[in-house]
Amino acid sequence: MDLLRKELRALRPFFWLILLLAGLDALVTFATEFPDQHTIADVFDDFDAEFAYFVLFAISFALGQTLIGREKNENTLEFLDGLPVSRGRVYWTKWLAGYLVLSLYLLTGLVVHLPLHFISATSDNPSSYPEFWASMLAMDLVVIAIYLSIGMALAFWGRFGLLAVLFYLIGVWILHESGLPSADFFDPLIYGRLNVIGSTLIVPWKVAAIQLGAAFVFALLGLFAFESLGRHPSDVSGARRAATPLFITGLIAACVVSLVTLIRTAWSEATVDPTLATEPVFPDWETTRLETGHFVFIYPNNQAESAEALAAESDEIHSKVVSFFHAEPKRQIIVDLTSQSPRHAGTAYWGRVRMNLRAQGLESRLPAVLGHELCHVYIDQLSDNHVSDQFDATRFFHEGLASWVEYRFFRPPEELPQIRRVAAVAHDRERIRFEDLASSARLSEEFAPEWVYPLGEVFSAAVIETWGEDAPEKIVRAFGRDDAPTGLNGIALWQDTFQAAGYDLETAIAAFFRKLDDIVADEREWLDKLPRFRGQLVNEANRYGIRIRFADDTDPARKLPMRRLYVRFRNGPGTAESDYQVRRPDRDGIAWISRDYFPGGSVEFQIIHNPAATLMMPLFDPWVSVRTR
Amino acid sequence: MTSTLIRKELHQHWWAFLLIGLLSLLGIGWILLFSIMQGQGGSHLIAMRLHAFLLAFSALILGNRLVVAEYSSRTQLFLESLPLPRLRIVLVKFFLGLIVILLSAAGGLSIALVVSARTEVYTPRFIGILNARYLCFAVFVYCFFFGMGFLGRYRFVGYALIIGGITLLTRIRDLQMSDLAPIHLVGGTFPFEREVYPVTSLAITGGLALAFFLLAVALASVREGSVSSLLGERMSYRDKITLTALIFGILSAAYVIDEHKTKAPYQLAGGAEAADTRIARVTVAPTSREARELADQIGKDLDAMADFLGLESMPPIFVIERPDLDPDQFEYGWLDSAEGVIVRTAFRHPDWRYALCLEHLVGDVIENTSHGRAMKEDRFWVIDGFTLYWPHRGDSDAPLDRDRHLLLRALYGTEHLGELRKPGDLHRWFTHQERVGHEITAGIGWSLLRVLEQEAGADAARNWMRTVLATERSPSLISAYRDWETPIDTRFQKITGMSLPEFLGRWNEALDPWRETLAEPLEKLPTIQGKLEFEGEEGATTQVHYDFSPPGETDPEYFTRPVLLYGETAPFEVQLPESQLKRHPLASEESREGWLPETWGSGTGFTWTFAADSPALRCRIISGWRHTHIP
Repeated sequence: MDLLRKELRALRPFFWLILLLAGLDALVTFATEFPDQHTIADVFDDFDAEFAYFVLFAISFALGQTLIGREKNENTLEFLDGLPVSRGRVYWTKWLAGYLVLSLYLLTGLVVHLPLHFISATSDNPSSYPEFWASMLAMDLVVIAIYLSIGMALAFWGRFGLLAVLFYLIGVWILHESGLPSADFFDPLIYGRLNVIGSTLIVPWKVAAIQLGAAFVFALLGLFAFESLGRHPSDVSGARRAATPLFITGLIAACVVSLVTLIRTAWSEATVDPTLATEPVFPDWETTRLETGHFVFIYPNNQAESAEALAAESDEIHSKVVSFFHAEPKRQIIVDLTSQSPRHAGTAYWGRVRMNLRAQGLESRLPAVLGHELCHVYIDQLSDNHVSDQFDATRFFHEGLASWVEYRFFRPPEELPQIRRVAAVAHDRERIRFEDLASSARLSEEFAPEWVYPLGEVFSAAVIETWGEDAPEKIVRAFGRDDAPTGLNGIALWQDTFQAAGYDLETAIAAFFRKLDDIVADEREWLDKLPRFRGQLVNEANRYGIRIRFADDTDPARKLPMRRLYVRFRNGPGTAESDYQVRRPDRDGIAWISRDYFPGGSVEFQIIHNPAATLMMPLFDPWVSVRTR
Repeated sequence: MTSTLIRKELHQHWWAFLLIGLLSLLGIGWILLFSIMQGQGGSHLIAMRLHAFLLAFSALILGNRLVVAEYSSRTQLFLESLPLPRLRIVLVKFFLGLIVILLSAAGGLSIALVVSARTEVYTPRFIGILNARYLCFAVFVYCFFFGMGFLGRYRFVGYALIIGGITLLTRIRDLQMSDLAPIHLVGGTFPFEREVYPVTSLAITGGLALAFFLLAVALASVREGSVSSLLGERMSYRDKITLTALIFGILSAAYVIDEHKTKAPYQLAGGAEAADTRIARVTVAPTSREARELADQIGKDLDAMADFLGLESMPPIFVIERPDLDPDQFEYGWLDSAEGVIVRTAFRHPDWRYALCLEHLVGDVIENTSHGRAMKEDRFWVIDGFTLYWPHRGDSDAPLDRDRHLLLRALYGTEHLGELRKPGDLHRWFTHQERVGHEITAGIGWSLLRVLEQEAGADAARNWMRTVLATERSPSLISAYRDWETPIDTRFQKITGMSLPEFLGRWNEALDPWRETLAEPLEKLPTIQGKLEFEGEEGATTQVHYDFSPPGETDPEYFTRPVLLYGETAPFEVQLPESQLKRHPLASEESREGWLPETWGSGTGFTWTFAADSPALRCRIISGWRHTHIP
């Protein structure tokens, strides 16, 4: 008890810091809000959970470092050794003191805000949601134990402990980027992705349990290091003496080994010995460079015919696009035809285009794809890249305008319904607002990011029908003007840009929705024949499944073969598109996915169907979130 | 001697150089990995952007080891006792670190160029641009951390000031982070720009690098190195806590100042502006004769409202035509960084009503001017009633049935809610809205204000409305405290001379005769009913079955466009804004019973009501909003 009191006294500055942070939080709240109109719904809307958990991690880590570091820096270890307590006991007492201080930090947050939520409750929503707070507190109490243990274990490295943490977080990021489904288990900041369904916090207990176990191991390592700290090597057992350097060596070795393994795995996937592979592997061909008036094409020699056919038309394609935008032709555009991206037929960057010569289906009309991608290049050029800088708000315009040019100049008119029908479905079945379209993130969260193409094309068509074919160029140039204010996004950005171009955004929006209504009216018969689907979660030991059912089981005419159906999965609304997992249903109509992808306790899925091969993309139902049991 | 110094540095910091080597390996590994992944981006050179981050990290380590470690442990005093100029010691450190960082940068860039050779077209100019950008960036980050190292324990204050300064600069001068010269060098166009040298960015970055180098030299040399020696002392535990507290304090202050900043008014291109208004600034777009007339009319009405309530300012109002909207629909725009109320409506539609538009605008303006204070539940009946009171204002002594449809709303609402007799009944206004809908409760509120006019006098009623609606204090504890000092019910009594229970009694008495007079039309007003059931399927998804019971009276005079309104609520919310509600029309016989097309996850918040339009009441009537969590 005396030892605990001594440790708590030593942590007085942290204690004051925590009180100060709580005080600042309260001050900011009281200076900017009416305290009796501070509902939990309002707070939750504005709460940046990722930042909050990052701050919690930083404070816990710093506290852990201080608990050990101070003894080292202030040379008080000899004093501690003079006490009739073992180093082990001192260590665990420090841990307990740190844990109590951090618990205080959690409690101050509750003490400040809970009473405000209580007095702000309204008669239609009187609950204070005690279950939610209890879950959150329980989760946070586990989280601070994890963070504190990491801090104390790495305290022996001094500043390098911070480096080690940074390395580790970079490693976790790499794991996420590589698409490893279990990456979340290694991520100490996963708790910042708060998953609340209704008013229930879905705590990733499995992740927490694994990380708590790892934290316990960290704490033990810290204990061994603390026991040998400041002691003559002969006073410390060999095993404990070796702990710290072993740990350091192990960490470096782990980094190197992970990196080498990662490279080797990726390399072996790319160049597996054909005699061992179950699938044939083909060699990479040498590439050729072919110059035309405005392009340099790079293509593998085994695709020379299609590449050269494309190259032969390319300058004419270029003239059409340049003429549409009234732009200065670029001196040379690189067209890299070696792409094997399964997701895109083409992509464009500042002065460079990548295309997949093997793209299947509609996208195989290569001149149209080149024309589409060239539009992106010139949109970026004319706007000095500002349209792409605000890609979240402008993606629909970028893709939509390029699609309009593609269908107008490079595809026969009878192919236009391929893209317009998709827009018709989106408008007929969902209440898309312009605000949704002007936020790619919101569109992805609720519906499908792919809708930027068909809806953007209709928007561009509406703008052109209202103001003429010069209008898009003016709008693009307005983005890139010198006096354009920065810091705008969403609707404000569009209003400013349209105003600068001499147009009115509201008129454009009205024309857009009128056009959508007209398209829906034209396609009414086709739309009425489209089936609707429902998904049902199926739970198995190591996997989840979504059983697809038809909304109307009694009308056989509306059934589709399962091969035209897919299910797309994601962890939550904020998941990057590249992390979406797509699965086909099996014979029983169930699309399965490993549980490892969903450690958080909820599954989000989206049913995708392709009613006709002649649509430019499949049709996407809205995302559905289900809690797993 | 120089070679001895170099050997000393290598010996002392070998592991830091090893770490930088490891970071370089990591960067190169990343470049290789990126190319193996077939470069899902536009160019393999994109991997250099992560390498740039690792390079900056390496520069941080170098600065820390070469400068901070030396000066914080005061071993530079030993070096200064050697027969060497102080400057040479500093320059040896500087150039040793610079060579290491340039080697790392050049190594990474070379590997990237090699692995990209298959899919890139190299020209001397392109390679020159890449080298200039990347190496200039490398020199800058190294000089930055090397120079900052000489600030010793105050380097953290320096970092905080620089970050704070950049944040302020980006906000004041409307800059983006990617526009800052050193970041622009390794920004989005780094892998693709093959024609233009970014001369300005190179010059600025080079200049900054030189400045930080000179800072290092100055601090190391000034007063025979005593300044750097003093600065190099370790920060105590208390210093660190104080610095942390200071940083959080500054951030909090900046946030509060930002929240209280007056936003610039929104600018709308084109549109007709209201003429001859005192306070109201109204713009209706696009310009047309109807727009001009509407702007003038709204301007006049809002000016009169400002006089009535004693408002001294009002946000600018923007009404924008959306001809595709239904005539009774109003869409609201939300402005993040500008001031104003924006609403879209189809004001040239033949069935469009001006009174409805004004009802919406009045509520928005008051919410804006009162900073939401008028929306507090215990006084919400006042703003609810005022949104109808103002557009339909007239002689205060006129009988209530001058506006028959509003009176019918009040009677219909009180019939469904039961009599409101206690102040507590007024404090539960949101519950009433849930049960009968906000348009009906607005009718009840209207009747309360009209009866108040008649019972307490027009002046007292106006003063009461002013006290609730015209509060212009910005949100804060102090404003709330001033409000709490005199509870709303006490204020009512002071202003009107009646207690709330007394007034409510008189109000009920005022309505009773009208219940008899209007018994017949009241009887014909339908009660909307229906059932919803959640059928959970095996697993964790649920389907919803609905069953609508049409009212007995099917005369279209009293009941049209039945619909099921529903939607998924956000966490901790029980209501949804109109724009997020889904509609399931129920007009046909076949559609009155069935399944909703969507599937719902267990635990999701779900709100719903059956609704229909009542031509007699000129508003929607509902079965009552219900909120639940899907089982």
